[in-house]
Amino acid sequence: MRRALLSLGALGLVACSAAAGLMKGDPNSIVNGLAESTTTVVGLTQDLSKCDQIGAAEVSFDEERTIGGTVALNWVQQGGGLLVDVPTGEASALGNPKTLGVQDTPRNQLHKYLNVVGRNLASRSTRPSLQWTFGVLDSEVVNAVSAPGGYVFVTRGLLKRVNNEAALAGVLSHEIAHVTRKDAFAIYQRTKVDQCKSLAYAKAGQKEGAAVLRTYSPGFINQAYSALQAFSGGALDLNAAANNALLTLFSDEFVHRYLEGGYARDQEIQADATGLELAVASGYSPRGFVDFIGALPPGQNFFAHHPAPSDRVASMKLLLGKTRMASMTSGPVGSPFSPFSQDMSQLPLVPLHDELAAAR
Amino acid sequence: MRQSATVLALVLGAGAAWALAPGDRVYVRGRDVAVLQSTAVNAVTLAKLQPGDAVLWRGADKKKPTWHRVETKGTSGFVYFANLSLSPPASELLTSPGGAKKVDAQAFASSGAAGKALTEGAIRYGNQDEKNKGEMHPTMKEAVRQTQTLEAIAVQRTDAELDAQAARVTGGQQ
Repeated sequence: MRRALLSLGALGLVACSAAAGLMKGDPNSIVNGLAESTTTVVGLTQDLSKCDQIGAAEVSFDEERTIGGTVALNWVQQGGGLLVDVPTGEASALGNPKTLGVQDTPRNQLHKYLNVVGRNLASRSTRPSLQWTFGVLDSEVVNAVSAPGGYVFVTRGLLKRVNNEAALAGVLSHEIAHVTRKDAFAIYQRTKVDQCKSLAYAKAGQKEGAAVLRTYSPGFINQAYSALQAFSGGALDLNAAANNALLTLFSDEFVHRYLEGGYARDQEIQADATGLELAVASGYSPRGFVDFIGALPPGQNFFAHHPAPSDRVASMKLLLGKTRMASMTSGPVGSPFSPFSQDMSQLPLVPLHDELAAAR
Repeated sequence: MRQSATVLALVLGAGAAWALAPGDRVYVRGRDVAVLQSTAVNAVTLAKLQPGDAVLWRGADKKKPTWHRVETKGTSGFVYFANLSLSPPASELLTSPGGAKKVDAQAFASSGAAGKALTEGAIRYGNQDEKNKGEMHPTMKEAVRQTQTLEAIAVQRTDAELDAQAARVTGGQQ
């Protein structure tokens, strides 16, 4: 049906173009105009149809990991870089993470700790086998962010405010939840279709493609368009070299849209709930995360795009109350261990906590 | 019994149905989850379960309700409640030259796809000239190198480190 509607629209455009030439009274323009418009409009219709096919395909793990990698690179680059010490030597060694010799510096030790904490949490998630990767961004802003495929980042500014591991576990669990719930996919799928169509419109010289024309060079647009023309259905392999321009087109716009709007409020509240559940299942007190969020000063730009801390705390307390988690703090469970009665002062501080607090 | 079911459901699936009944299927989360002969601290380990293993839920222990009796592979024993989930791990959609197919979490874990680091496409994206123009700190190329280093740190964490972490957080009770 959708294709039929597009075809009807195309016929209408052809008729208008021909009529415009006819009104000018120039026979050549009638012929040329018709021929040009027919080619352009039919081609545009086919391209738009391909865009719909690309958007309709379910996102595979391979695609998720590729787009997630590009998004992660953007968070690293825009977040001031990672607090890691990169090994010197052959660049090719970096491509073998299992054998790469990583220096045992304090900054790298911080990341070892973060990845042990994070991977322990993620192993209890609904996607335990992803290659989960947790990093610290060198930014003073208090924030945490994730990328599809299993990337989670917290900022130096956030770690300075974390007073115990239960709070850190809550933050990481919230971001893990965004990945397991595939919250980015809604934005990404829309982005893919919109960018693909903008590309098609740009090549057809129509105003809907103006943003793409403004942003990218003609050579780049030609590369992306060649990839679109070569697409013949099925899964689009964004990892292929020939599709790199399309990958760039999709990834750049995804990052832009996320930075503009973030996730929906409901997605954030759900990630809080799933994150609490995950932290508790791993052995942490839910109070660690609730208290951390509650202690953020109101009215400042903490956790950009997230609901207000007071709203998040209220939602989490409501959840805790509904599920009677809170009542378990009195210890009716009769176990020698209960996350609900955990003494958070006994949990370790984040390594380099004092150094991070003193920096800058 | 209803209260026991609630104990499981409230922690592991606040939004899920709470009407868990003996004989219902629940799923393991966490690696090497021990099935113990009893709820005693020094109980014998009867089996070790992996993420996604399905077990039959028989109910919580009356004296230690955070330990739940389960049946699996002909064995009956106790599992710490937080290692159980009401839903199985997510399946993943893998692509191959023959087309895309969904695989369950265990098949995915044993596939090469699960251990993928930054893909060639992502590296190419970060290293392209268009992404490295102008004054940026770090550059996108540096971001690639930093992320690859981070991935090495992540992937080199051992099962022993994760086991020690789990034991530390729970006081050795899981």
